Amino acid sequence: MTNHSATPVNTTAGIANRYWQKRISFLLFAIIMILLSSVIEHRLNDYAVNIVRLCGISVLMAVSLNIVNGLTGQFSIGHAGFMAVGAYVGASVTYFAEMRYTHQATPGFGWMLTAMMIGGLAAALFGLIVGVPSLRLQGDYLAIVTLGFGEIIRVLITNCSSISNSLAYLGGASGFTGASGAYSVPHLTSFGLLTATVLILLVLTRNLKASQHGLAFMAIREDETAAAAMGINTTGTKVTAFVLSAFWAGIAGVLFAHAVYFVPLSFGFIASMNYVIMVVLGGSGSITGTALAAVILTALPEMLKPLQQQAGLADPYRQVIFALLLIVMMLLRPEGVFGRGELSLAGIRRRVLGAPKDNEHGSDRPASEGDARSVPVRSRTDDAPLLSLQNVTRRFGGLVAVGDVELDVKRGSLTGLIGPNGAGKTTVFNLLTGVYAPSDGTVTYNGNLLAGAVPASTASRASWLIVDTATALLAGLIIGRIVSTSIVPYAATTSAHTLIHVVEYGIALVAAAAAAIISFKARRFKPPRRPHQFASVGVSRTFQNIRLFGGLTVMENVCVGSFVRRKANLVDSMLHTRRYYREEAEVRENARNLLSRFGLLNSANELASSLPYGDQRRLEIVRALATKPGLLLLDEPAAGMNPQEKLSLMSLIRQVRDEFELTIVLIEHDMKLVMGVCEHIYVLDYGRIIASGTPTEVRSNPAVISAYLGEEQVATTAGEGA
Amino acid sequence: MLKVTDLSVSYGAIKALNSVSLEVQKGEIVTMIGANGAGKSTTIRTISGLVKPQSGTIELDGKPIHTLPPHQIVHLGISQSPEGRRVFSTMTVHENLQLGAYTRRGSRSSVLEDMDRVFSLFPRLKERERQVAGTLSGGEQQMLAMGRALMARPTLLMLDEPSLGLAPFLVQTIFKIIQEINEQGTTVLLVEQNAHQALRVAHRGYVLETGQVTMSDNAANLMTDDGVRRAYLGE
Amino acid sequence: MNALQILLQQTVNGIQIGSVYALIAVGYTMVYGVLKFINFAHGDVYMVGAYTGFFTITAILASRAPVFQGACALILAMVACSMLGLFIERLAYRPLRNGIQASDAPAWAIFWSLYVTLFLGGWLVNRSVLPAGLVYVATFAVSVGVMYVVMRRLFTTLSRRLKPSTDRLSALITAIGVSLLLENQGAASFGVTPRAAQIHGVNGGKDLYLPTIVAGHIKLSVGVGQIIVLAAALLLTAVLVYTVRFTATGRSIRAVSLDRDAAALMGIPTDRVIAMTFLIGSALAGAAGMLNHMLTGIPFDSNIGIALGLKAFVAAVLGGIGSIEGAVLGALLMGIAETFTSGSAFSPFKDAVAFVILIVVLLFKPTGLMGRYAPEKV
Repeated sequence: MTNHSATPVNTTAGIANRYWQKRISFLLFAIIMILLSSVIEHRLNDYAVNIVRLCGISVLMAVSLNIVNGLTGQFSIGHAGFMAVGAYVGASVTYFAEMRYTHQATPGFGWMLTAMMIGGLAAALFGLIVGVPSLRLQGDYLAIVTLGFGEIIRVLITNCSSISNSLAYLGGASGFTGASGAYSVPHLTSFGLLTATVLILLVLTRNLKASQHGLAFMAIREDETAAAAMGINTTGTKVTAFVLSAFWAGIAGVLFAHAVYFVPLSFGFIASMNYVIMVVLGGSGSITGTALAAVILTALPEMLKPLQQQAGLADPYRQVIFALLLIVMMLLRPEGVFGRGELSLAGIRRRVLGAPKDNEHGSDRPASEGDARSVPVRSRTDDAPLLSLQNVTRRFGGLVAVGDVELDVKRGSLTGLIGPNGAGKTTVFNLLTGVYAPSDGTVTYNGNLLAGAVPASTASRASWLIVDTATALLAGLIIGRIVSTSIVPYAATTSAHTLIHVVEYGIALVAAAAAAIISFKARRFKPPRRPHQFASVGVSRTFQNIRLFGGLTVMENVCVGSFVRRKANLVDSMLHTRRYYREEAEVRENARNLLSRFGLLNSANELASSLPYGDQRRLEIVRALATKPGLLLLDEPAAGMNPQEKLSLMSLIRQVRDEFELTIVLIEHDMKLVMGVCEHIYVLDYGRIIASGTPTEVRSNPAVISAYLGEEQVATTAGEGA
Repeated sequence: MLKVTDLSVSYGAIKALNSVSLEVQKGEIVTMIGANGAGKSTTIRTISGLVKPQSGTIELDGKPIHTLPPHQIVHLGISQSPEGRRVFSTMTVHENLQLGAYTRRGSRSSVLEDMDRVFSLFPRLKERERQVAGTLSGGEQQMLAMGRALMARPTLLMLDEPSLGLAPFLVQTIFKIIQEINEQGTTVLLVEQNAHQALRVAHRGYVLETGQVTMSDNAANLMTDDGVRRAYLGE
Repeated sequence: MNALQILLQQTVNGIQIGSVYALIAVGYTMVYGVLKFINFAHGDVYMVGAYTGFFTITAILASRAPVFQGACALILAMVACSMLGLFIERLAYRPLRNGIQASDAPAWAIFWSLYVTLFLGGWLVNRSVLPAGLVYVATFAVSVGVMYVVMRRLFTTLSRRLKPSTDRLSALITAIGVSLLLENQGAASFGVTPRAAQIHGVNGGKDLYLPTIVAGHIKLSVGVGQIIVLAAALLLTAVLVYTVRFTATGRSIRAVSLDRDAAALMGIPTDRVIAMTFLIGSALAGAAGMLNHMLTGIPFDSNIGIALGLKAFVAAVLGGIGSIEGAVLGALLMGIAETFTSGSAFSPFKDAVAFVILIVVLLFKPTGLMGRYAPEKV
């Protein structure tokens, strides 16, 4: 990549200019579009109006699903369930408005907006309820839970009248018919409203994708473990994405309800699958691609209709053709039409005119000393160890992976951890970063207890006790009811009757009692801190088998590191507020400095996965440094390097420690590197520390020689090291 | 015995191998050394048929094998102990070894004989015969991976980074066993980061850099070559 | 009738339904084991099994003895479905996994030729004096020949440009595509009106007497059909479990599902093993389709695979996906839970019960009842 002139983006005036320019031009564009669409609406026949409405709603559904499936890389296949919540709640709002407030006249625009907000919020609430427990699950399991949720919603709505008579107005299997059975939902979804909603969603998602939060979403998609190590609260972020996505699906549902006649089956598994197909075909991660796919896939079956009728084919053949298209498409272009890229005017212009790609941050400015120094200096006055492990034990099943480890790391020191493969070194690192919680013992960092058993407060235990018991009681009551109602009609005597009811409530009581006991025991201690919390107090790490965010650029990888210290919130990110721009400039500046300090600035715009191996290792260190850590953990940093590279790595490690005022702990197999760079070494074997001390002490320790080094190795390293 | 000519391999847009040629004679230990990402693993993955070459040929005893699927190449007598060991973690040591002899399912008694031979090379595995492979230590898994590859009775055994991640003293053991296997009549193609040890046991060596063979010579000559000493032996 | 009797009766009914789920669920779990994706088309294989059974009984062997009918229908359904499973794998999943190659040409040539025969053949039959069968066969043969040449050329060119997809999402979408194709082609070929048939002589009930310690006997009425379904399902799953656990074939299936590349390095023909899992899974789903509908007379249409397939899949996940024993356990549990719910005050919600149980189980045991926890290596 060639050097380009400095970019104008970073100046304050530049930001302010761009800020207003963007806002005003978007507003003008939006107004024109809304007016235009309203004009068009009156020129089309009912059939065409209907198709266009459905296209708009599909865009809302597909783009909102893309936040979860494309950006965050989770796999939700029950999106139509949230649409159903929105549709029924929204329709209820206008229904009651008509029944009570507008004196039987069709509710106006204000009511429609209210319905949209309430419908969206209701769907978001359901998103939260589904998301909080299920987003801990990974991959396909999450998919199945979302699918299950979608089906449960459908079944509940279909049988609404058997839940409660007050819900009977929802209409059950035959659609929303009101209490009288003759009500039909007013068609309030105008083109203008739909256009405005679609535009807002598109802009907000696009802004989000370009923001720190969007980066955090995508980091989770690329590598959840690495994302957590960068200080991203993975569960929290996933739930956020899920709730956001559900909110928009809810709004789409309200618009849907006020556009067409609908029944519970409109929101079943097949509908959900349709939206997933739109996301995949358009390119999961690509907002414009998804939107386009949504329009085409909604309109295509309608467009095929005349063709099919002309050919005299049976109706199912339209679906057969659609299915074939899907299969062939996946074979020819599995990443979807747009992949992860976006369709933009600039992109088209570039392609047509062949103009050079503007290189926003590829400019390789000379790295001044001051840049790297901008990282805050940590005091290292007191002599207490920065990190201290006491009696740390970790068991897996019956296996003791790490037993009774005692380990102290002095502030500003360089400590090595060595031992044979399977000795538990990486387990120690995982305990230090919250990937595992210790079975016993404590980890103290900077005077704070990071891991280990901390008694929970009585208040939290009490409230959990109530929640757990109540949940179990409820579940027990339902199960008891199922059992009893299925056999009660056949009970011959009254005593049998009584017995059945005793059993029924017995089940519930036993369940509640069991839950209470388990809760009382299991919630004695605070839940262990999670990896992102370790990162946020200043523990950062690299991984044995490089875990970069391969699908993100080098620059973006480093920017993810800054996420842990961000000030802008999600709203800033979606609206691109001034605060967002200011921070964005800071983050990029910082990343640029770090990259140029490590000689990676020239490849800032390349995908991390395309870097040569050695650069990937370095990038991982840069990314870890971007979190501004106090303690840096390096897991086999020299793995796969040749001796020459190892030599330069050794000096790099020392420089990093001095320049960034860090404390470093590293795992390594290369004895020369460990002996050369570390001031203190711990030797692990079978999960226990068998020796520790200075390199010279460790090298001559008989236990270490027999368990790890071997006689010959000692001779060679001693000879070379001298 | 094995002749690789002008082999080129690409992963998408990235060129992993660029016109690599090498030869392995019967009875030899040949080693490939080079930095990570130089294309060593790709070379032996291509020989095994796991990766399809873009151009070039691979011949075994004069017959082209680069168009064959991996399982047929094993049938022809080339077996591989892959990088990272890749043992079947939920199966027992015994089952792993049985799978190694998949190509010789017909002959029960000779399979049992070979299992004894593997156990005599790696007595540690005998003790763990009924243990699930995932619970073995790293060194034991490496032994299992090598033993499993031997169970196919290969004429050419390819070892991908057998010393990776092992304790220094175990590394020495592994290399001694490699020599022993070779002395029993198996030709060995060895890919190693640990150039020092690899060149010590090998007869000949190839140096790979960014997908190309930059040097090939007797192991002894390579050990004394200045460029190799500086880049791979760290002297 | 007393309450205990009902309790037992419901359990028996539940186990019978569960055994049908089990036959389908093992197919999901096996394919998931080797390929790590949800084969959504599996439920539709069940549908084809039901239709095969239906046409065998009502058309091909309409006037034969019931036992002969049943045996032939079962075998035909299993054979037809295993062929279908193989064909699906060859047509869609293998090219997706390995990238399109010239060797995929025969499957696609046959596929297109089926449509050519259907439309062009139909048109020719009306305009020729030759017997219809001959016209169809001739059209098919010519078409396969022509299509093979065309497809081979096309795929050879494409194979140089395309790389195989590693994305599991695209495998899933392909599966949905195949599923849609089967459902709609089914609707087009067999019509949308539900079909139902029952083999003669299996609708009679058998009374089972269980001694109780209190007094007298407990009488359970179990249909002959139910007993046959249950026995056949148990037998087939037992054979499957034995094969996978104790035979060389089973060992290679397990090896492929643990590490496909390493299995190939052992000399295991991985593509063939994958095809084998499709064959076995589809044969069992076909058996389930035939047994469940032809022995009990439950009506079905071309969409039957969606709902049943979904439930069987949920059963597989409930048991711990990848584990065959888990799939059977999950399926039986689900069958029982469903029967009990449909007999209780909550009967309208019986279709949601499967999912509620699943969600609850996954929350407490995220890998299912018998799934193993595989900690991610960091």
